[in-house]
Amino acid sequence: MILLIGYGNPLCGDDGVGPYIAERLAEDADGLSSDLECLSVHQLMPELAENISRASVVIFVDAECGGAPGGITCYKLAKPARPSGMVPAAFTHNVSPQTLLENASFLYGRRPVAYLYTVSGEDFSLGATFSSAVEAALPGLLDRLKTRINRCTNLVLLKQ
Amino acid sequence: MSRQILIDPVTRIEGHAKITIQLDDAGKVQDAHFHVTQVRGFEKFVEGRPFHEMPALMARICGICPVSHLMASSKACDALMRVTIPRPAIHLRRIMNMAQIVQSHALSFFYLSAPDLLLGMDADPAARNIYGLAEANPALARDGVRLRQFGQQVIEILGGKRIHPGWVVPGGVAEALSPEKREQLLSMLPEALAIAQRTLLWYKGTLERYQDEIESFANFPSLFMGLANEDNTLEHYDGRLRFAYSSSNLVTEVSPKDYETVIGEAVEPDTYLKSPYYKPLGYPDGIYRVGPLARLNMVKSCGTPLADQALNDFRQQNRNSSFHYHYARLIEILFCIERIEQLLNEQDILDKNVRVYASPNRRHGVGISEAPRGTLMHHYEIDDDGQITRAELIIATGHNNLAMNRGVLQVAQRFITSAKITDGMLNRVEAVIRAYDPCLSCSTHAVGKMPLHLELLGADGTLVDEIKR
Repeated sequence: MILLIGYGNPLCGDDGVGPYIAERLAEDADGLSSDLECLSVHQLMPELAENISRASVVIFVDAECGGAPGGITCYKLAKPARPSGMVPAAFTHNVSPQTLLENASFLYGRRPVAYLYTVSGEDFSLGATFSSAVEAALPGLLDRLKTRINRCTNLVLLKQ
Repeated sequence: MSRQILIDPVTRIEGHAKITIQLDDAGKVQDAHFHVTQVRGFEKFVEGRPFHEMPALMARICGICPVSHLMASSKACDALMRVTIPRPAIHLRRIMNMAQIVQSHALSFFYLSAPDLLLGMDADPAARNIYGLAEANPALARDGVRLRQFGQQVIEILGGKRIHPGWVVPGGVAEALSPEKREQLLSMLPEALAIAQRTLLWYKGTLERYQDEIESFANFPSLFMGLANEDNTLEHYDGRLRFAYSSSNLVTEVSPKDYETVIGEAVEPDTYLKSPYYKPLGYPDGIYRVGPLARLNMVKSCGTPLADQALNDFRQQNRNSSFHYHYARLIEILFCIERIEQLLNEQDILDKNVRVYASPNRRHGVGISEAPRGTLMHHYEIDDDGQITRAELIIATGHNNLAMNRGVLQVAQRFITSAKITDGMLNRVEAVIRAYDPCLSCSTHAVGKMPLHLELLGADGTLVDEIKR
C-alpha cells in the first residue's frame, strides 16, 4: 500500500495545501495504483504510526514556512544515524514525519520508504483560500506526486 | 519581599495557558493563578447566522472534541425547533458521543498523562512523553494507539469522517445505521474492551507510587456537577443537571434548560476563561468540579456490569483528589464500550426514522451534554428569521476553572519549597492542570504553541530566576 498523508489546517490559508492535495488525489486517482490510500489530517498524531507501519511507501505533503512562495521541495526521509529508540519530542501535539517513522519501526517493526513534499506558503492567515503563488503551484505538485506514486508502485511490484 | 513564579505556557494541554505562583516574604507559596491568554470569540461571530448552521460552525471550535460540540449544538437546535427526535436517532447520537469520549480519554490518558505515571514526575522532560512511554512500555503505547483508533473509527463509520462529521443534525442524524455498519461496529468492541480492562489493571498497580500526588493534587471536598439519570446512574447525553457532594449527598437537581438558575459566571481581569460558580453559594464559594471524576462521584452506579465492578474498586480511593480524574477516565472508557454494545443491540437501532424536520418554534434553545472533560452547554437565541442573535457557551474547562486554581495552589504549596524551581516541581504543577485535561481550544478557541517558560519575578517585577524548555 502507498500511503499519502496531507496535513495542515484548511482554515489557515496556505497551511491547508496538504489536506487539499490528499483530497484531490483521493477523488482523482485515474491512472494511479488502486493500492493508494490518502489521508487528510489537521495535524500528525502518534496513532498514524500504525497506518504508516502497514505501508510500503509513505508520502507526506505539508506547507512550509520560508523559501520562495509556491516553491516545491521533495525530501527523502532517510533512516536517522541513531538506530532504534525514540526521537525525543517535547510535545505530543507537534509530531514530525520522522518521529512517526521511528515509532512505526519501534512499535510495529516496520519503517517504510518515505518522502516529504513541501510547498512554500505565503499567507497563513485565517481563510480557506490559497495565495496566488500556492494556487499556481498546485497542478505541478499534483503531477509530481502522481509521477512519484507511479514510480513507487512499479518499485513495489518489482520487489514482489 | 514577595515574589512571583511564572510558568508560561503549560505544556501538554490543548491550547495555551500560563501559571503564576506568588511567593511571600518567607519564600513560601502564597497564591497561584491559572491564566488563559487567548480569546475565543465564537459567540460573537456566529451572530446573524441561520440557526441550523450552528452544529457545523460550533464543531470547528475544537479538532479534539468536534463531536461534543455537535451534540450540544444540535440539542440546542432541537430545542429551538421544539421537537422530540426519534428514539433510534438518540441511540445513534449516544454511540457517537461515547466514541468521542473513548478517543478523547485515550488521548488524555495515554498521550498526555501516562508518561508522568509510567516514567515518574521527575523524569527528563525530553523523555517524559508518548515516545518515552513507547520506549518504556511498547505494549501500553500500542494499546493507547489502538484505543484512540477505535473511538475515531466508530465516529468515522457513523459520521463519514473522523474530524468534523456532519452527520449529527438538528432533528436527529442524517442517515440511519445500516446492518453492515452495525456488524462492523460490534466486531470492534471485544478488542477495545480487552484494552480498557488491562489498562485499568495496569493503572491500579501504579497508584501506590503516587500517594503524595493523590494527597496534594487538588484534593479537597467540593461540589460536583453533571448530568445524571433519575435512577442515579451515569449519563452523558440527557438526564437532569445535578449538583452533589457525593452520590448520597445531592444538593440540587434541575432541568438542563434551567441551568441559569443555578450557575453564575464571574470574570477576572487576568484571564479570558470565565469562572462559573454554583449561584446559591456565590462566588468564589460556589466552586464545583465537572468531568469524569465528578460524573462518577455523583452517581450510585454506572449501569453496566464491568464498569460497576470498577466503580466499586474506585470507591476505596480518596475520591476528593483530582489525581483520580485519570482513574475515572479509564472507568468511563470501560463504561462507554459496554454501553455502545448495549445500544447497538437495541431493537430499533436500525430503524430508518432518524430525523424530524421543523422550523423554529421557540426563541431560546438550550442543549447540554457531557463532553469528555465535563458538562458542555450551548444556549442560543434567534430572531423571527431563525438567525442567531445571541450564543452563550459554557465549556467543561470553564466549569473547572475555580477548581484548577485551587489545585494549582495546593500542589504548589506542597512541592515548591524554594525560589529555585526544579523540573520535577514544575511538572507537578503542570500535571495537576493536566489531571483536569483542560481544553483551552474549547474554552477560548486558541491554537497555541507549547514551549515552556518559567519566570520567577520579584515584587518589583525584576527577574529572579528563569527556566526554559
